[in-house]
Amino acid sequence: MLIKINHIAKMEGHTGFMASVLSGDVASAKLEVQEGIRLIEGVLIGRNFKDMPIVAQRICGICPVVHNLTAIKSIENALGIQPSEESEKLREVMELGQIIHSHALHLFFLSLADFLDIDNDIKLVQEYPEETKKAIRLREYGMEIVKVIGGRVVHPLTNEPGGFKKAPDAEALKKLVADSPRVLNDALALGEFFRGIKLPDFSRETEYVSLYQNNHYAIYDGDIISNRGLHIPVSAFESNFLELQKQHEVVKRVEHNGKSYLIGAIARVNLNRDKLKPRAFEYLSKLNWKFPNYNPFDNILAQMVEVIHAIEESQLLIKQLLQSDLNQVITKEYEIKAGAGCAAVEAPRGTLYYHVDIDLKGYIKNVNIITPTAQSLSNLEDDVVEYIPHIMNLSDKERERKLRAFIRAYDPCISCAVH
Amino acid sequence: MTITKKAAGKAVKKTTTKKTVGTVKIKKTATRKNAPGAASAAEAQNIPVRVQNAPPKFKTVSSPVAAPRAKTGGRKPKMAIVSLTSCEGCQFALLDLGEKFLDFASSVEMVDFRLIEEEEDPGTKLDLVLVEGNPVTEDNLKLLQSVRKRSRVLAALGNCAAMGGIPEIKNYHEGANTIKHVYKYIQGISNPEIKEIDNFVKVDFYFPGCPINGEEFLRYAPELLLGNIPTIPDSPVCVECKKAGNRCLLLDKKPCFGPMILGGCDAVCPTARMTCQGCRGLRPGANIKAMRATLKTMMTDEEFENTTEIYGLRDDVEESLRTTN
Repeated sequence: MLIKINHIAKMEGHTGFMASVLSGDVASAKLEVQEGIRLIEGVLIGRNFKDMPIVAQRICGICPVVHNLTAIKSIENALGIQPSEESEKLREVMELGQIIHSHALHLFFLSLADFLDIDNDIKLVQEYPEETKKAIRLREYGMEIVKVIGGRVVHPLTNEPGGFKKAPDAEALKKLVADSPRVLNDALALGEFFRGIKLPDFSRETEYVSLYQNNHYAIYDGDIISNRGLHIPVSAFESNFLELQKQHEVVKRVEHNGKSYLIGAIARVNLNRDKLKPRAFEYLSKLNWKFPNYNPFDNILAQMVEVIHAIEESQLLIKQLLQSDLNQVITKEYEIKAGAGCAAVEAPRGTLYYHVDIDLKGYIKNVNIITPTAQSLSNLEDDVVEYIPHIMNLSDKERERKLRAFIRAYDPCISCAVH
Repeated sequence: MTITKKAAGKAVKKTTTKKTVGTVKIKKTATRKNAPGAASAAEAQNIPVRVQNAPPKFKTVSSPVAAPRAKTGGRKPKMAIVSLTSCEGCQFALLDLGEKFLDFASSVEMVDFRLIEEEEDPGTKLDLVLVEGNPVTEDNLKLLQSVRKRSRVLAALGNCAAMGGIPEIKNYHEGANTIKHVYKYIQGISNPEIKEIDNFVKVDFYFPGCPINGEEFLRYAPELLLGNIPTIPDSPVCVECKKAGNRCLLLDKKPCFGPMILGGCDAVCPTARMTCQGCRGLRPGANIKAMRATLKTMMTDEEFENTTEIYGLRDDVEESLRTTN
């Protein structure tokens, strides 16, 4: 028996799905990526390093911030540039804003309808007007953070290697702080709503991987850890994780010790939950999860936890920035020299990794970009192989609906995966 | 395996003559049709002079290629947004308008909007289709051609569809070989030369920008839904930049393309102290030669070429310089 879905809507990019089931056993399950190649790494070779953050962020219209930041960090590591503490804080706030608006989009507008038996968002919006308003306000708050710091939401402008071209307006930052309690209340109320949603019960043990810092919920920086004892610096990523391309496939898969693994909100919450800010931790406690939690549907609730955390954390960081000299974020002169650098930042969907080699004159010799969805795809397929037997007794239509919901709960970003 | 551009890149220069591949080849904007404006070199170098010319007011003209006026009667016009290979950022620039976009969306019937619904449309006739991205896969091309047939008006949504965008960079260098830096197995992977969508289908209107300006979209989309083809005023980025109260980047010897680039973006880049790199394309009245001369004092020829490649501007600049010789 063949299970085939031509196109899965309500997610970023183009993909279908195919699985074959032989006498009750799932022989294979595969996401069929239909995205065209843009060869972003290829077009960067031979270009000046300053073009890299500008070009690379255009990999993705949802998460340009994290591509921009990771590109910048890898360049700084290659050239030995140390940005100011204020710059790094400001970047982290920007990434938190990115996480808020990306998660708010996914958990409410892309995934929620799947669990309420609603087939499109127009009906969702009509049936849940109050929740919709809250979700929109959350998304807009996240976007406003990015806009205040980056100058624009899609493909921000102010960031560059070394710091910022322009410091954010202190008044606009103060307004973000002032709005923060109201937005936090929206998030907590929406969190309560989500706590009442019945998510399917399914679980498969896997390896969770994320960044880690010992006193901070790692987003902008850290080492790479896993729940199976891995603890390496980011510079050891490529020697521990294997990126491989199968013939005829445009997404390069990534394995750890020959196996699939999972990153993103569910992995981060599992690994770093003790570093969450108080309200986010309190909300997580109310979910009564047993850890480790291996239910991929709970990724949606993990995103809710992170939205609450990101509001608390960004408020704290902005307050600290307002106490400091904001002009310290402006780029200072640096020397251009040959070097290699790598960097990782937590994107909404997991750890994004960049590696760049730069020559004496500042031209790029080599680039490698390993995106979150490329890393999660095999884990998704391995999960689906175990999930299908649970839904075999449903009608074809109902089974297809469940599969779509499952894939969407992962929040894949196919533009990123292919780039 | 790495090669530097200087060693290998220049050997495979992109030809600026666009071949007709699809059905019709319609020239892009009026940029290269119109004779270059009368701006003197001095004007191009001294931006504030140009700014004093008030930008033409937005006017709606029925283009000769415009579809007949909508006979929508009581029904809402039908609109679809189609994503070819892209970052989908232009679509998000629309969604990010929030309430304003919802208001607009309630005035139309959105067909096949993949970001909000699962149902596939059987192929009804459309009043307006917006296309973002590049046709890279065969499915992309089929989709582009089928929506053209279905829709009275087709508009390019953003820089990739209108000018080739980031993916076009490969055309200027290693072309088909760029793939070898990225993939080990290249068999069966569609890797065409990147071409703007008007190489394949007739395009009635271009929303410029990377990404598009959402507010500008709201200004022109209602006209397009009625079958009218608006004209974006021929005004440089500098007008809006000055209005924003920015100090001119050119005065600080920062190579900003503002004077030769079509405004309408609210000068969002120079406002962030980033030089304009021309994602909205050349404006019809720009004096490219004078601007080129001005920029020579701020960047090397190589830097100029490289920067114009980012948003697919290089072929347009070269063509413009050739035709005005």
